[in-house]
Amino acid sequence: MGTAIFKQKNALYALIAVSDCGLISVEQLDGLNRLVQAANVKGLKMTTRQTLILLAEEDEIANLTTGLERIGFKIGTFSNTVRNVKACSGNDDLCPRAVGDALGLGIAIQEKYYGQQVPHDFKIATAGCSRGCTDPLCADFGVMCKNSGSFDIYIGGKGSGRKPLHGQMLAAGVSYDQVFFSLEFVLNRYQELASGKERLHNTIDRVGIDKFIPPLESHEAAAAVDEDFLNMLNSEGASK
Amino acid sequence: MINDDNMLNFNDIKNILKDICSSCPLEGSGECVKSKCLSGFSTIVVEFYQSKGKLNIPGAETMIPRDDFKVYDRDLIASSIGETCKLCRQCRDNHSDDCVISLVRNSMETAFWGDIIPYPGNILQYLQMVREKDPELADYIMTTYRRKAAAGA
Repeated sequence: MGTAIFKQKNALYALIAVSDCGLISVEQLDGLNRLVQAANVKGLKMTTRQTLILLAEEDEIANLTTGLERIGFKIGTFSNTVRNVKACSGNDDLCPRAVGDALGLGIAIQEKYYGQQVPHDFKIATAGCSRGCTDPLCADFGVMCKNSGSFDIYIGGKGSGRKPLHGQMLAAGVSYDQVFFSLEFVLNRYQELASGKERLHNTIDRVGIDKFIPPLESHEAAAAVDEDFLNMLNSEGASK
Repeated sequence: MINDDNMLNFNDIKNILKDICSSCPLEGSGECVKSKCLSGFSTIVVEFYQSKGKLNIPGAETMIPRDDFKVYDRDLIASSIGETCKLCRQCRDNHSDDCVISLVRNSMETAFWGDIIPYPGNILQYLQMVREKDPELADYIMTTYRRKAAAGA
């Protein structure tokens, strides 16, 4: 996993700070203000992926990294990792157009998968309605709320480069839990099937999207099984 | 393990399951996965009952590893089916496929035939259905069942 600290043309270093899908609390903003002043940060820039770039001298990077983590930011990653999740402000409290909790979902996904190693870039976006403000069809794994508790999933999108691509629908109207089950399944299949450092859409082109379709029926059946029993079955799966 | 006089005694079935596992080449090889094996699954089901006291495990019937195609000792499997008949509470219309006894029986039927006999909720009707499918097995089960019943086990 690469840490997203990049030398710039003007010899300053760009350090990428990641929050919960772009949310920054008042306390974090206050801490950030004090931190950037103490570290003599030359400037900040908001990014298309809802992160914040801090421009500083090389010898301030270590202090900034520690300080950012202390006030609840993560440091950005690049290359073959699951990146920070891009989520719109769709939830019960914010965007009036949202039909589901895209923000909560995005934060939960980021919490679980951020930084996980994958064959190539893996970008995730969640959107609270079909307007898709976070471009879920341009993500490796995009989720669009259909209505409360129901989501459509698209995979294999790519928003940048000379040949941007829209993702293909993987599953329609799935539950919150099934979004996680599907993401886990897609990540595992991607690890198994990718040829070298291949981006997900290239793997899909080569092996077909069918290989990525999660067995949602068996997951649903498992969800209906007595939880204690399921735990015992899983924990005693292997012989002692 | 729960110690309660009302708990059903699965010890004989557990001993048979242990014998089935002992004769399996995967036992102790490091490749044995109990949850993916009909005998292992049955053992887990019985142990779950003995530790939690739940005779009905919602959804457990869907977890029977029906794609376990190992070849089992038919005498041991037949004995285990006979033991389930001895334990059956004969719930008739209230029969549940998620009952621990039914889960073991269905697992053993799958090991024996590759599929199950839909349980009618009582032993006599069940034995009649077994007889239509396999008269020899029906006789064997009946013998086991009568022997156990006579011994009051």
